[in-house]
Amino acid sequence: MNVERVALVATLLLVAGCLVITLCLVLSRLIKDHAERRRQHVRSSVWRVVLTLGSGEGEEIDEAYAVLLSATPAQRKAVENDAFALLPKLRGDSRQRLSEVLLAWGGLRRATHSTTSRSAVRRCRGYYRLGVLAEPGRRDQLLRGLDDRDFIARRTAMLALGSFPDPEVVEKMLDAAAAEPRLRGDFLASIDRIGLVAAPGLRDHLALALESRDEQGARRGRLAAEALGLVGATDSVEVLEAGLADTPDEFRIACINALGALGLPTSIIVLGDQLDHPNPDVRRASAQALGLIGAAHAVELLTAVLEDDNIEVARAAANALHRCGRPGQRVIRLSTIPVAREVQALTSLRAPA
Amino acid sequence: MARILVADDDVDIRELVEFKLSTLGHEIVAVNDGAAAVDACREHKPDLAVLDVMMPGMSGLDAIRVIRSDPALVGIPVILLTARAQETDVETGFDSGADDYITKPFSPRELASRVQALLARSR
Repeated sequence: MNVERVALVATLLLVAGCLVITLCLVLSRLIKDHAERRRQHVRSSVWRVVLTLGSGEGEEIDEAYAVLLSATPAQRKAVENDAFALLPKLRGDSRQRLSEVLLAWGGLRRATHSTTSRSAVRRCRGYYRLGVLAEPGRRDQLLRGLDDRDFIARRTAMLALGSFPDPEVVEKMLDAAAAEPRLRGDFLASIDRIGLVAAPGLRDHLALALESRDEQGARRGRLAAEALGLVGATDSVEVLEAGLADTPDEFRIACINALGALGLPTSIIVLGDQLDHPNPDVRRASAQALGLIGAAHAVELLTAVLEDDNIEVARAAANALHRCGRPGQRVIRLSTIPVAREVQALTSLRAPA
Repeated sequence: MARILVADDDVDIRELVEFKLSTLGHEIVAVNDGAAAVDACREHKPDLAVLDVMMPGMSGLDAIRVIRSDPALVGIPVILLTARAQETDVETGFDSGADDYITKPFSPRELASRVQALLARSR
């Protein structure tokens, strides 16, 4: 009997416990939904003001600016995340004014504070926001982010540093990307935003890599070469061409790609020499680079590799010839080689009807 | 007033372009990918389309090709929105039949001016 009563009480307690937990969950959901509805309600009016600030004209902007500066904490909270997401997509005055509003709302202080949080997500948010606001005084905080214990935070810091066109930043970013290859894409994305300001430092590192020849130096050199091509550093052609002589193949390919991206016809001869390289990857990269330059002078060189033993090299040569204007397209049209026919077929498919 | 199609998978940009162009009195049809843009062109026959290049599924470039190959849509002026890193795509975009392009990050005021100019030219 006693055992049965104990079992009954235990069952009742269990059921009651489950009910309480379910009620708590439902209540919590309702409260959150209510808070979100309130946020959306507040947001809709304030967000229009943010959009006016970001896209309006003359007096509209001044009015929106004044309204946002006097926004209540609830109004600020309702749009702050979205405003930080919008800011990097704007440029000119719109960006400047919205940035001023976010600074006036204390965005910089909170972002800096977030970078010391124990949560990786909050640190990412902090780094992202510091990058968006691009305050020179917070540069070192972001540089420290490159050594963060979590990859995702290091990645965010790398991307955020693209807002700082500063040679010292470029050097630290290059060090970090050379030490951790999976940061390469983020490094290049940031360098692309920094632009030509990065070129002198990158060029020096490429020259150093050519002298040092160690593995770490070669990685830095490869990244520097890629970045120089990306930012269009045409005054770096000489050092990039030096990278084609007696260097490891990956390094050589990075220099070839960069020369192709720079697109100067003066590089045609050195790139043409690489079409005889024993490594098909080097030959393919050279053919692609010649295609990017797209000059009629390259037609003869490319025609010679149209029948390369390696199909990828031949295909790259055919595509490159197609980019070399009428003389190259004529070669493709008259050729019976399968890769040339393939390029012709693809071209006619892409052409508007 | 014109009917303008805006296709961008980035909700912030879509909202901003939509807001800016609607304040100029235009009617906006907003979608978030290339396939939806083509469908919206067929359904709403917009006077102009603003297409992002990089969109999930069908890209803006592919959408232009479809638009230009359809006799009913071929005359719609198209402005491409492209990230700076994709500027090489602009050449392809013009080859495919785009009428203008704007690089991101962009100024909504500049976009509005280009839209107005293109609408005036196409009328």
